[in-house]
Amino acid sequence: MLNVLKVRFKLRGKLTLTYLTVGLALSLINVWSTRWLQQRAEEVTADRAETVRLAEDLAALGSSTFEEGFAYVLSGELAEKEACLRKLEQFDILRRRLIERENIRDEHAGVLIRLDASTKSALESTHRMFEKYEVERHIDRESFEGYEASMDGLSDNVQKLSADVRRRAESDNSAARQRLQRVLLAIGGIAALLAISMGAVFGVHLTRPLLRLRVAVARFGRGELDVEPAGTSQDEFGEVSDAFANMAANIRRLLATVADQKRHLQDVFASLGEMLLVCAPDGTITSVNHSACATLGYAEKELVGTGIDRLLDSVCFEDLRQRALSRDAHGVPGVHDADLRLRRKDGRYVVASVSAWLLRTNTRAYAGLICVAQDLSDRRRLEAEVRQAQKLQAIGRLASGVAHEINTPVQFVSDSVHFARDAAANLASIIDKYRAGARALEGGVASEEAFAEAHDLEKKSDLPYLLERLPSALERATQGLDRIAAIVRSMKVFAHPGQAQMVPVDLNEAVKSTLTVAQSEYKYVADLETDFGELPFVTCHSGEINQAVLNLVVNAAHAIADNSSAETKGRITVRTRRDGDSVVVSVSDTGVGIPAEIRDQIFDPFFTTKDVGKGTGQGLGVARSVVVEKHRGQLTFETERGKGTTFYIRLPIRGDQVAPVLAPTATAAA
Amino acid sequence: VRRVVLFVDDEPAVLEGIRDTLRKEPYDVLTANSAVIAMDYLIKRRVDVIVSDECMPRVSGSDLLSRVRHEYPDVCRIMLTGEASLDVSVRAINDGLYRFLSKPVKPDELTRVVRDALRMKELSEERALRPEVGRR
Repeated sequence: MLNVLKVRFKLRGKLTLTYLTVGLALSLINVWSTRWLQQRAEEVTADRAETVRLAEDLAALGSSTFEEGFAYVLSGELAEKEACLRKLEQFDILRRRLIERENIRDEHAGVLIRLDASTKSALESTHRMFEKYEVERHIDRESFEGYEASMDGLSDNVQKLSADVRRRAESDNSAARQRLQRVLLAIGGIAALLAISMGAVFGVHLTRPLLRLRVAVARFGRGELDVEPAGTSQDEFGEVSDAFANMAANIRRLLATVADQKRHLQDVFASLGEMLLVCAPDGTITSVNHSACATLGYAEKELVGTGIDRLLDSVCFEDLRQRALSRDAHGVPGVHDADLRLRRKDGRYVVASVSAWLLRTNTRAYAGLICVAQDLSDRRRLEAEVRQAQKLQAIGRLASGVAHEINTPVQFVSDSVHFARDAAANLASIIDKYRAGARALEGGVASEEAFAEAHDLEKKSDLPYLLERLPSALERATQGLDRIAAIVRSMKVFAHPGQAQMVPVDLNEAVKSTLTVAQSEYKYVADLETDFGELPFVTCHSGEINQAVLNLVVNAAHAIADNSSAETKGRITVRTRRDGDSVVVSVSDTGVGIPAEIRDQIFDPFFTTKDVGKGTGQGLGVARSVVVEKHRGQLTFETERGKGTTFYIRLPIRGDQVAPVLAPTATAAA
Repeated sequence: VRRVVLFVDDEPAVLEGIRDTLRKEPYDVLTANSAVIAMDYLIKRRVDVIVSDECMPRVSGSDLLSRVRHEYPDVCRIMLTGEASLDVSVRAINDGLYRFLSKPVKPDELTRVVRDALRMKELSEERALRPEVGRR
């Protein structure tokens, strides 16, 4: 309860109570002093009034005594005489009472003395007159005049005293009023002093916590966030202090949260593996992440504040901005460039896919561009590795086909050579016999025997057969050897190790080799039709183009093999044509065609419709990677279910001038 | 009665070579350029041994030999192929093939294998004619 009171007894209460107390005290002092002064004034006034009344009574008595005396003298009635004497006595009593009044003796001493004297003389003259009257029964003029004169003197003095007393009373009153005014003035001054001193006390009392709070706020404002206002009270200052402490704590918490979030964002920013460059609306880089610095070989402070254009090669910031804006206007966020070259600090280039988005504030205002670039060097390397692996795989698969293609001619070459050797041996022995016969004939010895042996041998070795078959056997051997040589040569051309640079290539020759190497893949399911147009030398990586063509031909063979409805062999048609600055190699099959639902996926890596173990799903992906990404060509197709598919490889004749030079980009060691 | 050996290969030169190699052998050499022609021969003539290539257009050697096994179980089957994948070889052997030969096969070996095949054929025919002997 006390506690509640203490808590409730706040500054407002304190102030109110203080002012009430001071006000009450002042009022009480005022009322009390006023009343006291009034009482004092009233007492003085009453005293004066009594004196005045006495003086006036005295004066009235004086004049009535004179009249009574005068009436007695005129009428001679004793009653009049007694009344006059009685009045004189009363007069004397009154006079004594007046004289006895405390304040009168000092203040009106002169008048009283004169009054005393005149009273005495008035009594004497009255008595004297009465004695004379009682003796003479008549009053002479002289005595009467003496009486009258003493009575007048008495009356004058009484009048004078009365007037003096009244005057005195009046002056006393005004003096009392003046005193009252002075006292009130003094009380007012005391009250004012009291108020001022209380104000000062309260001022100090009030301003001390305010001062402390002000210091705390100032320190807080300077960034000393751990400031706690010292000293707490239970009043409003305490509340303000608490509120400030609360506010400071909240701000600290908020700042901590903001710092946390900022740090988190920075961590995200820094940990992002892709290059991140944020640009102001004029293309000045405002922030970059670690990956961008590391990949491009710059320190962060070398990039921030400079224009992004010095990093870009084939596009400029303005171009990106315009495209981003126009795409944004059509509701498509961001621009994406698959293969951009970014200039490193050392002058080399990094191939990157760059995406740029408009940076917008929360009010949707345009505030620059955010560019995210992915270093494709690793991806390019990986793609090259995939291509190489696929090539090796293709060669591995081709190896059995090639072995077949070589072993078959070896078989008949070997047979033919054996046959030729046998035939040659037979012919040699037959000729020997004939020559022996001939020598005998020359020597004059006609030997029928010798020729008969020769004839026997001829018959035994079936000479006509040998003579008939020998040329064709030799021809077969020659042809077989040619075939073997051709396959080995094609194999060499096909498996030619990829060169770093593009070189001018006779594409027809390359395609021919590929078809030779791959013949075991298709020749049992399809007849090959070639239609080679006249082509200029095409600058390309021939090994990789061969691989792409091979993949298409193998797919064509598989498509035909899958077309089980075909009773006869299918047909693969390979055409080459020049078309302006490009050449087109087309591979058509009479296979099953590509179902509409998978047409979008056929170039995806690992996408395959073939059974496990038959296809890895890399063939078309690699073909596309080779043609589109490495040679900046196009790989398209036309297909019809059940009728067949044609793939078109379109290559620029001067591939080296179109395709990006893939600079070897060792990522900076930094 | 002369025995008949049928060679099947899509490569005419191979058949020519074999014909030359086996010209002195005591059996008739028939050659077929494809599985279809081979089946035609089998229908029309008695064949003792069939030697087939594997890789041929439309009907492969193993398919042909598989059909021969079902339709002409008495015919001795030999495969002569340039390069066969593992599953083709396994399938052929599991089909009860007499021999599996790889190209290039030496003339002597070819001659010997065909002779062996014919001898085995003769033995099994004899056994079939005299079942009691076979049982004993």
